[in-house]
Amino acid sequence: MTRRRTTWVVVTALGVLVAIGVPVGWSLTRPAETVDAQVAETLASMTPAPSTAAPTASAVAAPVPPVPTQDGRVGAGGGPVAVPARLELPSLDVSSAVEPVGVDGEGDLEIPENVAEVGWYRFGPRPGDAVGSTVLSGHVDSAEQGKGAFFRLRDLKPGDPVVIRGSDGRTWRYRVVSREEWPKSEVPLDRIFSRSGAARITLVTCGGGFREDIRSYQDNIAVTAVPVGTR
Amino acid sequence: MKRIAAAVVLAVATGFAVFGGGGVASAADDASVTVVHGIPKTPVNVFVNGKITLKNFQPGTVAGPLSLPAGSYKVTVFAAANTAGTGTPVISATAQVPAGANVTLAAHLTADGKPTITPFVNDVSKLAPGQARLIVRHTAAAPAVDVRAGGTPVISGLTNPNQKVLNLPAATVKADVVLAGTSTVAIGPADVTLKEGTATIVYAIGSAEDKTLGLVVQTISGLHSSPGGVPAGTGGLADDGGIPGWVPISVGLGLVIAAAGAVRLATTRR
Repeated sequence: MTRRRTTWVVVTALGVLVAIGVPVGWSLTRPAETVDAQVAETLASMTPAPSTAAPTASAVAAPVPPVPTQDGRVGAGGGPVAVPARLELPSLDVSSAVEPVGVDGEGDLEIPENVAEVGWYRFGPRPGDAVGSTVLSGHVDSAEQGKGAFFRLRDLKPGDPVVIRGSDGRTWRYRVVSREEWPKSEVPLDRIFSRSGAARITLVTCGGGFREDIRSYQDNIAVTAVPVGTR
Repeated sequence: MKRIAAAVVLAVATGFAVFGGGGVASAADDASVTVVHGIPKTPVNVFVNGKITLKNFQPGTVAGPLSLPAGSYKVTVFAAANTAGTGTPVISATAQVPAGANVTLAAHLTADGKPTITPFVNDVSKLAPGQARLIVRHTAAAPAVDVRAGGTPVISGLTNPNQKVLNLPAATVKADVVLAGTSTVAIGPADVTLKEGTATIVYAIGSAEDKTLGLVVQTISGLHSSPGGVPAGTGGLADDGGIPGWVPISVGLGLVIAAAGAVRLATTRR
C-alpha cells in the first residue's frame, strides 16, 4: 500500500468519524430533561402527618366523630399574612423580586410583565404552609426584554439551594429534589398547582423547542424543592 | 323555648326526609353535613346517637363539616344547661343521611319570625381558576332584600328561605343588605372575603322586628381548579427543541470529506 493510499484511507475514516461522532456526541452530552421525576410525584401524593392523635376505636354502631365548629361572624379568622417578596437561586446567581399573580383572561397562569421578576401564584399555598405546592413562575425569556429570571432554570440540579424571603423578613430555605420537562399538552398542572401533599415549592418556566409561528415554547420545565428549615 | 323546640323537631324531620328520599348509598361515599345556628339568643346542646356532639352550640356558629357514613342517626337537642343528655329532650329526631351529598342544615327564623330548619344543598362544583362562589341565603325574619357589593346590587328580591348563587372573581367585597328596591340598609356593610376556589355562604339571620339581624358565614374550600397553562416565554433564546445547526453541518462536512477520501482512494493506483 502506498503512503498516498494510506493518507486517503485516513481521510475517509476521519470523515466517517465526524459524520457519525458529532451527532452521537451531541446527543450524549446534552443535559437530561428530567431528573428524579418520581420524587416530585411521591411528594404530591404524600399525606402530611396529622397533628392530632389517631382516633381510638369505638364500639358504637355508628361512631360520631367530634364536630369542629367555626365562628360564623364576618371576617372571623382573617388577618394579614406574609407573602414571598424575593426568590434566590444561588447556584444560578439569580435574585429576583417576587410579585403575587393570579390567572389571565384565558385562565392561564399570569407571569409578571417584567421578565426579571418572578410571580407567586397567590391562590395556592404560601411558603411555610404545612401542605401543598407553592408555585413560583418566571419567564425563560421574552421577545421584547430578552432573557428572563428563569432563563437557566433547566440547569438546576438536585441538591441546589432555593431561598425565599418573605415580606415580613422571614426566610424559607429549600433544596432541589427534581427537575421535569413535558410537552405543554402533557404538563401535570393539577400536580404542579396541588394544594395538598407534602409542603414543597415548584418553580415553573418554559423550555424545549421554540415555535416561531406562534412565538411559544413547546415544553414546560418544573423544578421541585423541599423545605430544609425556616428561620 | 317549647315552641322553638317543636318547630325544630318538625323541621329536622322534614329536612332529613328531603335527603332521605333518593340516591343509591355507597359506603365509601360519605355525606358532608354542616349545621348553622341562625336563631338569636338560643344556645343548645346537640346529641347524636346519645353522644354529645355540639356542646353549648351558640347562635352565629357553624358546626361541621361532619363526614357521616350514609345511614340512620338519632339527633337529640337539649337546652345548653343540660350537658348530661338525660331527661326529656327538647328535640328528638331520626335523621336519614344519604350518601355523597354536601348539605347544610340551617336553624333559623321564618319570614314571620317562627323558628325552623331549612336544608340547603351546597353547590360544590369546581370553580374556574381565580374564581370564588358567593351564596347568599335569606334566613331572617325580614321581607325581601337586595344584596349590594360595593354599592352595586348583585342580588335582587331575595326572600326567605331562598338562596342565590354567584361565581365571581376572588376578592374582598364591601357588602350590605338593603330592603328590596330601596337603599334602606338592613344589615352591614361588612367586608366579605371571597377566597379563590372557595364557596362563601352568607346567611342573613335574626329578626328585623327584634333588631337582631346579622350575618353568619360558612365557607367550603377545595373547589379550585388549576390554571390552564404556564405561558412563560416568547423570545426563543432558550430554544433547545431542534438539533442545533452545527450538528448537521458537521455531519455534511464529514460525509464530504469521507466521500472525497473514498473517491481519491478508488482512483489512486495501488
